[in-house]
Amino acid sequence: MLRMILSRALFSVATVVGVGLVLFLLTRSMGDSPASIVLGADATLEEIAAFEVRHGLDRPILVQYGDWLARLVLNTDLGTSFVTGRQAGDEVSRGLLVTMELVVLAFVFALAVAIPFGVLAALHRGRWIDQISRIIAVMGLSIPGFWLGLLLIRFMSLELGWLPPGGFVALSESITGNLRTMILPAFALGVYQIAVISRMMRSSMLDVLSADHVRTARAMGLPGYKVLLYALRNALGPVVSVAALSFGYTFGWALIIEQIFSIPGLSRSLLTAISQRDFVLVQAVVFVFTLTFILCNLAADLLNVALNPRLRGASA
Amino acid sequence: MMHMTAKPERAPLLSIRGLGISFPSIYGRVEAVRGLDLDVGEGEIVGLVGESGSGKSLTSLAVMGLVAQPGRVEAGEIRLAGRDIVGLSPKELREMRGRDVSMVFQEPLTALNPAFPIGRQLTDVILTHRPVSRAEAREIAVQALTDVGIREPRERLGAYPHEFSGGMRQRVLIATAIACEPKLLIADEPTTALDVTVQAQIIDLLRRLQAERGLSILLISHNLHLVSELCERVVVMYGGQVMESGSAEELFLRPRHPYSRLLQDCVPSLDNPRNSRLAAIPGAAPSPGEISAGCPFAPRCARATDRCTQEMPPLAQAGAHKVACWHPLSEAVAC
Amino acid sequence: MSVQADKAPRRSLGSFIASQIELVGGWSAALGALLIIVICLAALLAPWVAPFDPVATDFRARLKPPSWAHWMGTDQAGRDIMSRLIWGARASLKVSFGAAVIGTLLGVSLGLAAARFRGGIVDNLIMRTVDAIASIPLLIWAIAVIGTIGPVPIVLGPITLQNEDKLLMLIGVLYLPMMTRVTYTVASAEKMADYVKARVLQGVSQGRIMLGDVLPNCLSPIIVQVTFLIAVGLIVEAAVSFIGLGVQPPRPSWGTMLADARPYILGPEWWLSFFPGLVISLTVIGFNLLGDGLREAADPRRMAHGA
Repeated sequence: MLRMILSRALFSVATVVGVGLVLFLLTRSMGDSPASIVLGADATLEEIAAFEVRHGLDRPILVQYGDWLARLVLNTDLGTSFVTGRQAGDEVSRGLLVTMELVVLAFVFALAVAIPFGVLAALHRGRWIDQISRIIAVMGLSIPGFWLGLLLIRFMSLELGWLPPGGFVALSESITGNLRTMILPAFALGVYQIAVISRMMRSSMLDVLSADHVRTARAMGLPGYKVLLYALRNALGPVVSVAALSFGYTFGWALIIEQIFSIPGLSRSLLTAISQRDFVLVQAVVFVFTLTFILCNLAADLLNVALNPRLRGASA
Repeated sequence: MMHMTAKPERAPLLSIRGLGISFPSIYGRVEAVRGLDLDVGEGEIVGLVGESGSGKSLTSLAVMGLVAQPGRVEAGEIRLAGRDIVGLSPKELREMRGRDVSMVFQEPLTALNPAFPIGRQLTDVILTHRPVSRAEAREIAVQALTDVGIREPRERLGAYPHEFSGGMRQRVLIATAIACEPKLLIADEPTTALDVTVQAQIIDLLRRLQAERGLSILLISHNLHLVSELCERVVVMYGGQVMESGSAEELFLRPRHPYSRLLQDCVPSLDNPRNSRLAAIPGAAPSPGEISAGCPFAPRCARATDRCTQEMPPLAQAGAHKVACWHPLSEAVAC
Repeated sequence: MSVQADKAPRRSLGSFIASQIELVGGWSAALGALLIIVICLAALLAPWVAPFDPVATDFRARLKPPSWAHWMGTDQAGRDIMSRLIWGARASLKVSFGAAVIGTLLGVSLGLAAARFRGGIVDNLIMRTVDAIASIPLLIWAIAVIGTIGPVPIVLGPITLQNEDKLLMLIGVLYLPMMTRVTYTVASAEKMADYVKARVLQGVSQGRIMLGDVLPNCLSPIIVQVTFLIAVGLIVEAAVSFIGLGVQPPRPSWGTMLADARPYILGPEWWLSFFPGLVISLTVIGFNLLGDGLREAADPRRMAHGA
């Protein structure tokens, strides 16, 4: 089993490095030259050349990448922006905390709703609670989260005035204030996950409930709640995988939601960086997003193995 | 094979009278089991024989109270140790399962939960039915595993099902079934999914359990060899009804029902001449929707008359067995 | 052939409809299919169906609520919302369908190739690369790449690539992993089937077997996956256009219309954000329902439920 974990982790690391390279190539080749940004449009060729030498931009791309990577790993230095002059790492970590909070809140909310819903739908298959959960699932999958966000703002803030239409209050300032600003965005972000997770929970539960070992458990006279717990344990495997994956996806959608609710997370950093043609920052943000995503995928794999003893290797 | 001497007149451990089980099909509600009578005495091994679709598995599920919707027990009584279990509440049925009567199924590979160690599955069952502590339950579990012949049982409590071979998994299942010392064990095709050599071991195990614990066993199988090895009495089912029942020796040497006779013939034997054709019973087993008022075997029976198709013969004493046939084979005919 | 060929029985309309409904997998799937057909038809027939010119501005008629003249109201430049939605369907559907086509063509080819050479270097190479692509968060990369390149048209000789074309291709590539995985899994399983062995015994080459015999049997799950991909693509396009990196103005798309509505979100002009979002949702619901139905219909387990 250790071998499997190591090989998966190794593959993830390789992917991160490879993807980082693609990203690097992309920003370096597609983006505007930093020299012209900093020095201005009427810089002479000599000035540009000198600038490039000074910042090591004339070296082969792979060398530059290696250097960037080394700095990242050894100093956790994501580079310095040519546009703002500030450390990319600072900007990213500030935004990351906020985005993290949003994504985690949405995830927890989604789990809290989706798992019971899915289990109930499986237990009462075909009856009203199942029908309702199916309708909610289809709607959750189909209604764009950001449109839902817009509608919520309109309804909750404008019509009912219960919650603020946007903005952000840091946790350090006020917990209730923070939660009040987070409720709507977390909800909008979580609805999709509810749909995905509850469907998986339902289908996985149905599979397990019709399995032989559940029949055995009943035949041995185990009480209903115990049979259910056993079944749940078996059914959670695929659900956890799906949940971890959707957690990773949510980071992308958080981008849009943050824009709607004016939350100063990573999305603001990214979009500002794009509009300012600040490619060091773009690269830093996208790299962090990608890294998080890959880590979530890895976690999903590992959880899968942990929950399914059969995948652990040696067997009779 | 053991001779059946007259047993003292004690009520049998399991006594089924007039059992009827129905479930819906495209033909409407059909009776998969009709008017079934069956007895299993204390410490007795009884074989229930029949083709797929004969209703034998459904019968066993009924004894466990596990006939699942949309199936339904329509009629009859099932007395286990004197108590009629047909009318029991779900709670009482659940208490009964595992404690008074247990069942092992055909597929040991999938019958155990793959996510939990076997020790946990064993102790959970024990704790459900007996007021013991967790530590005591573990001891009982170890004892049960020893009884079924699992080596190093204490160490293996933490092992997962996939770490065991098919035969050992079946032993573990049997251990789980007898851990709470039920009086009756129902084994539905317990060896069908196993190697022939392993089959023999399981048979030995069952025989041993009967001898050591006085366990009654209802063995359900379509494998006549198996049944003849292990069972003292045999009941032959067809189309949801009992065709013949009697001691194993009598039934196999001198079958009275045409179906029983043909079943025997179907089993190829090393004694048959080399080029003889494989005997087969013409026609096919009836699907539940096709059951009519008369004897279910009539369409395929060479001896059938009009009366056979119109009227179901009752299960009546004929010599040493009971036969449900208007024209049973004579006693003189031996196999 | 029947002797009575000239008297072929005519099926009633009712039984025809019933058989079509069963084909897609039930009532909800049929509803989904209907939604899709209606919207696609509207998009195709836009020049004839849309009552107004989607880009013609008319500042006297700006921000008018829904009325008999403008069923869904007008936007801030006086453009009819419904017409813009109908025309916008073209852009949005083009992106999602196009991406699905690219993803499917590439993905299925790679999946078949990997299955054909299963266990060898080619297999490993393909699947590892695909896994690596799968590690890329779709939305973020779409935004970053287009943001970096710049949302301007690229001219390659006689072909002009609009921004949405770039988006289309990008999403298509990022769809690759899903299609490859599905194809690979199904094709590998089918490879073990007896009919494949029979073909090998007949002396047919592996390549032909893959294309001619295995592929048709893989189509079910592939088609199901495609419907879901289109559904996702619609939302992705809307999201990317929403932040301005997708379809560029003045061309309408559902996403840009939502972007236009943003400044008015807290004002009384509810129709600006409501209708575009509604149309997106309905279309996506349609694809999801259809995909669900197709999946149920193709699932062999379904037949076991009758037992």
